[in-house]
Amino acid sequence: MSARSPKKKPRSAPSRFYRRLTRARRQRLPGRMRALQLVRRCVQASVLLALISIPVFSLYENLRNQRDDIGIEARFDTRLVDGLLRENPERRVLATKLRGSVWTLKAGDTVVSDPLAVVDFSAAARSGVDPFLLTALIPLLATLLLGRVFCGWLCPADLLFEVGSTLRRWAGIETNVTFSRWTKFCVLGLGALAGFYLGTQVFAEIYPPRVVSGELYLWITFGAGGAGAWLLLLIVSFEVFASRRFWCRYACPGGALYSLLGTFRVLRLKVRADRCTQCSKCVSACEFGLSPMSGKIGNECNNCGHCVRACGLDALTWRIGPRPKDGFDIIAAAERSAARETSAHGAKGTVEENHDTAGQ
Amino acid sequence: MSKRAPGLEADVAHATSPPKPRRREFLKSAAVIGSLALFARVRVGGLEGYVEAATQNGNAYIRPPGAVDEEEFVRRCIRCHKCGENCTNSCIRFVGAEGPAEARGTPYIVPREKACVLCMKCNNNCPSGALQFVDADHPALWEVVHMGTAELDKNICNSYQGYICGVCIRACPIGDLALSADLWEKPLLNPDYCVGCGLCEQSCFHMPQALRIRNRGRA
Repeated sequence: MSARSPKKKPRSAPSRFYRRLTRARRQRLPGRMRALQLVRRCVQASVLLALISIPVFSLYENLRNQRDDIGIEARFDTRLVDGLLRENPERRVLATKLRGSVWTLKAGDTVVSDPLAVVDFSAAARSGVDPFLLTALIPLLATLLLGRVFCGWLCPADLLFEVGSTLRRWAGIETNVTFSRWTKFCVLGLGALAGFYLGTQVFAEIYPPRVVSGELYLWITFGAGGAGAWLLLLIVSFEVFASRRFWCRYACPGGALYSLLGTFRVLRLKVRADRCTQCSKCVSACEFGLSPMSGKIGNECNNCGHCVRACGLDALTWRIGPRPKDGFDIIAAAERSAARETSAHGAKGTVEENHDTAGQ
Repeated sequence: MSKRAPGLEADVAHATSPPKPRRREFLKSAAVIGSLALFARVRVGGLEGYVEAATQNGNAYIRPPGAVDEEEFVRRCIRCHKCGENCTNSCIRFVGAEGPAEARGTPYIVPREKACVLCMKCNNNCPSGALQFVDADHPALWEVVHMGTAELDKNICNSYQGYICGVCIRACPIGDLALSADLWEKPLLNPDYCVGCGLCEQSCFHMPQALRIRNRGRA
C-alpha cells in the first residue's frame, strides 16, 4: 500500500518501526514542547528587542524633530536606524506608535500597565479609584487565567536570570542556599505598606523588569545609567554563586503578586499517573525548585515548560480546566482511559498507548 | 537536559522535605527584606520633610508641564520614563542615584541647559496622572502649567545695568503678559502669567543668568 493513499490506515496496529521511532523521539524530547520552548525564546527575544528599539526609535524621532543632525550622526549608526527611518514617513509614524516598557506600555492609544505598578501607585498615591488602575486590566485577566505567565514569557529580567542559571550549571557550582518562599510575599506586603505610609514607590526601584527597561532607556538616551545596573549585577552574581534563581523564587514582589492572582488559574500543569515513574527529573529541571511530579506544583509555576521538556516519558502536560478539589493535578490512569473512550476518535488509542509506555 | 545540574540535591530536598527550623528561616528572610529596603532607600518619616526641604529655598525640581504639586507628584509618578521618551525637545532628564531617595527616577528639567518648549507631549503620554493632560493649544497656559516662576536679579541684568539686551523678552512664549519690555528693553516680570518654561533663562547670556526659574511650590 502506498503511503500517499487518501484512506487512513487503522491505528490499532502500528508497525514495530513506527513504535520504535516514536519512543525514541519521546525519550529525547517531545516535539511539541520543543516548539513551545522555541516560541518562548522568540517571545523573550522580541521583548528584549522592543525594550532596546523603543528608546532608540524615540530618541531618533526626537532628534529628527529638533533637526539635530550632528546628534544623530554622533549617536546612531546611520546605516541602521537612519537608513531604516529617514526616507520613510510611514515607518517613522509606525515607530512612534509604541512607547514605554514592560512597566507601562502605550501601543497606539491603548495603555497597558504591570499590575505591580498599579499596586505601587495606589499604595503611594493612596488612591483606590483612578483611571490608571484600568490599564492593568489585560495583564490582570491574563494572570487570573494563565498564572505567573508574565515571569516566564515576558519578563526581560527572567532572561537574564536564566542566563545566570545556565552559567551556574556550566561552572558546576554546588552551593545552593534556599530561603523561605514566604519571603517574596512579605516583600510584596511590606513594600506596599511602606509605600502607603512613606509615600514613595518602593517596587519601581527594586523590580527587575522595570529596572532592566529603565536602565536600557537611560543608557541609550543619556549614555549613563542609574543604580539599577548594580542591583541587577548583585542579583545575578548571587544567583550564580550562591542560590539558584534566588530572585524569582524568594524575593520578587511581582512574582508574589502574580502567584497570588494565579491561585485559581485555568491553565494547569497535569501529571499523567499512568506514565510517571517518579524519576524526579522534572523536579531537578524546575528552575523554581517546585515539584511538578507530585501534582501539587502550586501557584508559583511560571509556565516555562522546563519540566515538560525534561520528562522523557511525556508524563507532564498542560490542560485547561478548573483547580481540582483535592489540590492534586493528576490525571489518573482510569480517568484518562475513560476520557479516551468517550472522545470521538480516540477509542482505539488506549491500548497502543499503554503498550507503548509499558515497554519503557 | 538529561544531565543533572549540580547543586540540585538541595532543590529536590527543598521541594519535597518539610521546612527547616523557623528562626533561621525568619532571619534569612529578614536579611533579604532588609537589604532590599536599604537598596530602595526606604526612609522613616514620609514625604513631608522632603517637600519642605525641597521647596523652601525655591530649589525644588522643575517638573515637566502639567505636573501636580510636588508631594502629589512624587506619590503618583511611577518612574516609567515615558515623558522623557516622548519629549520632542529632549529636555527631560531623570533624577539619578545622587538625588534624594524620594525623588529618584522622577523627571525634571534644567532650563539653562535645555528649556521646555511646551509641546505637551510628556503630559499627553503620562499614564498615572502625575502630569495632568494639557492641550498644547490651550489659550491660557498660565492657568494650568506651573513649573516654576522666573525671578530676576536686576543687579546683573544687562538691560538694568545700561546695556540694552532684551533677548529674554523675545524668547518668552507668553510674551507681553509674563515678560514685557520696559523702557530700553528692561524685562518686567508678571508672576501671574509665568509658566516657568525657562526659555528666558536659557536665552539669557549673562553668566550667571540674571533670570532664573525657581520652584517654591504652589501657594
